[in-house]
Amino acid sequence: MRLTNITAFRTILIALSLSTFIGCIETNNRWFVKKYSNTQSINDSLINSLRNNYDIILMYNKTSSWQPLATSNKILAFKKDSSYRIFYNLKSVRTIYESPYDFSINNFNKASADTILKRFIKEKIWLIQPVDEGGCALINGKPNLNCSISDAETIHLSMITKDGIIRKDYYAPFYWELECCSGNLERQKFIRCVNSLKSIF
Amino acid sequence: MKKIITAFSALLIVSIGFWACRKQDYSFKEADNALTVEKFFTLPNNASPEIMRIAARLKQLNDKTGFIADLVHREGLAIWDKSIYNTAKNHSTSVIDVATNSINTNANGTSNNDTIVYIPLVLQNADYVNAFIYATLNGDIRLKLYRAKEYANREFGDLQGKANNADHFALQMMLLNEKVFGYTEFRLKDSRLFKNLTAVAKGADDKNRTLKLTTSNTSQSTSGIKLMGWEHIDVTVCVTTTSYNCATPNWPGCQPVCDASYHECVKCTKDVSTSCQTTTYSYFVEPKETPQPPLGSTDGGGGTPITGNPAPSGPVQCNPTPELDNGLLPCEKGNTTGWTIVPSKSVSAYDPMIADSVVIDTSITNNYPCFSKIIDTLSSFSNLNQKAQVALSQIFNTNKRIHTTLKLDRSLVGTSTSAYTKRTGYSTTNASDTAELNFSATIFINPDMLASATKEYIATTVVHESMHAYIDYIFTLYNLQLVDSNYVKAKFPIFWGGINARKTPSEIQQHNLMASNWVKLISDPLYGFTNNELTQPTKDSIYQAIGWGGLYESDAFKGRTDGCYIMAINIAARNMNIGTPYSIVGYPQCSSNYNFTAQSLKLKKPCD
Repeated sequence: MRLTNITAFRTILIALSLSTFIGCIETNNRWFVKKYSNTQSINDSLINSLRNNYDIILMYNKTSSWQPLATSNKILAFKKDSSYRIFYNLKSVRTIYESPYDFSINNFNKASADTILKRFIKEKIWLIQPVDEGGCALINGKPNLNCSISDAETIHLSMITKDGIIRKDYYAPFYWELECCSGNLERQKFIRCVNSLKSIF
Repeated sequence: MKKIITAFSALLIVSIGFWACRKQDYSFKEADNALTVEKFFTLPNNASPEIMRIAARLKQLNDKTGFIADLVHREGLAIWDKSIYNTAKNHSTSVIDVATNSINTNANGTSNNDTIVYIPLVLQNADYVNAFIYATLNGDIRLKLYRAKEYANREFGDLQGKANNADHFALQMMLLNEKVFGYTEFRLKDSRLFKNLTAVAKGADDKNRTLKLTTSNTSQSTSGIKLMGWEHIDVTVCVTTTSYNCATPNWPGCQPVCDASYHECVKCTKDVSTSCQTTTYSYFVEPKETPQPPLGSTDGGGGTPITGNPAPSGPVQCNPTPELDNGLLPCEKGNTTGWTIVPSKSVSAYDPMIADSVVIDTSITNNYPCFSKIIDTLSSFSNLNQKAQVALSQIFNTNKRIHTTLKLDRSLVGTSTSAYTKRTGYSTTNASDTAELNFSATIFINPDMLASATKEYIATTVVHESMHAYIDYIFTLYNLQLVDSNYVKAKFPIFWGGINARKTPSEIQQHNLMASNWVKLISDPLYGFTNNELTQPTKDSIYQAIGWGGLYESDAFKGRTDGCYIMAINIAARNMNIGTPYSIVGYPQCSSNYNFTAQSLKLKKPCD
């Protein structure tokens, strides 16, 4: 009887371990980055250097017609059991006496970082589909005459590993969602990922 | 025992696995639904007791089943303050005869009055009434839902007959459209509607019939006065016969027709003849529900009782807008409303005394007083080429139906975005007059730019944003069918072919248009500022470079060999405090160091 109980207890423990393993396998494996990689390379040596030195990088930045180059990069980087919060501000213009960029890196709470990573994974960032003009150019097949926006910012989210780069871009997603024609599920997924990453900067 | 534990463990694995991997509903849907319901039940401050009773009853039903969010999604939001009131004798018979209950003969019957309230429902972003709630208030409240497209389920054409036939129903929908949106004229597409009103024009083309709401009662309803008692209205149905003789391509009503013998097109002439007939008409009133006729019955039934439960299914229920899945089969072809709205002059009546061509928000005038002077210069500058004059005067001055507001957006501080533009609304006042589209746009400006940029850079930024507003305006005219495609093609030739003609061009398409055609136009207004320190060629070069601001992603810019020079000029114009020499980061092709400054380029401070 005693032996049976021990066996049963052991079985439960194995079961728990197994389920935890199953729950985490997607997070650790990151097969999706390679499979759904949609960007060949990054034309920025510093980000490429980060890519080589960290297991996974989540990056948020913005561009606009006034400044097509992403200058203010907010990065969450993972390496083994640690995570790091990185500010990387590229100066669009600099005098010859200045550094072309500002860079700072700090340790960041791993549990909080994992929450953000899980958000990206749960929203399946690799499957998020961009929609033309926020999906609001037409409503019910008719031109949307009530709202539009020009020269707003495009938000870029990237998930970068050594295996690939998933980059998703949305033009003025908050405007379309909050002020124009809310309800696009893809856009909402994107916004949730943006909000989770933005929240730590 | 062991087997039980093993089975339990297996179950635990599956459960935990399922729990760990379950899809979490982070959806905005619940929050959206809550907001929708809250919005639906937001009553006007001066809501009548009847409205408050009806809303309370609907709330009660919604608390049980939560159907309101679905109702709003499918049928629209209630426009409580545009409800129409009526009274009806509480007869025990199932049919109310309009003839014996008209305003002139309402002595009939001694029983209690029912108060009837027609509450219009309008779908999001729609400019017409989609359905209405028919509430009968006496001791209790009875609620029914009527959809515009269900009018054809009723009898047609007997004005003196039942007050719930198709004609009364269609008229009720039109009255609600008048109340909510101010429409007073409707084109009748269904020849069965109001057919005995068109006796004066037998044999005329039924496709050209219009209906006008013309009585004083109608105007009372727009001013918010309750209409009680057996109200009636005068309805004028006109038959307009239009004929075109031959054509020129520029006449939207015609197609080019050439004489086969001479191969020459002849001019189009348009002949219009109209005859009208006016008749007094009553509101739509359902018979007392004893017994309840079947849904869609042509015997005066129809409407869906609002019980808080999902809409009952039945053979006559169908989805009139198949593009929006509502779980019903699509309606047979032709099951649409038998009338269309003719935008009338009473919609958002234009008042030149209150219309502003450009409003500069106090957020700017209080902090950047010189900005107004820059706008004044842009507005008054007249030595422009024709296109610039048209565009700028449309935006700034001449066309007072374009309402441009300039505002600060403090959230842009620290970003490189100089400005952006939102279309904030539109309304039409006359379908046949392109000058009568009221169009609103707001240009949001980065305070950083006003604090650190030169006068020239600020001015071109505003003109650049105005061009977006102008393109938006032209496409709004086109989408509202106030202008034809030739009009748009003439203005924006490069948009044709590559885009869906019925969509406002995307940002990059607009920038390609500006870059290919309008850089000079954008920079031309800078000549309105006095600057005697620059020679003409230098001025041309610098001003045109500034005109390229915000167009760096356009194909035309990417093809230029002087892109780095243009960017360097813009950097100096955007930031009066830039140190030198400087280089442009992120563009390997721009490896030079530049010494341009606002001072060296002789550009002006905003208050100069």
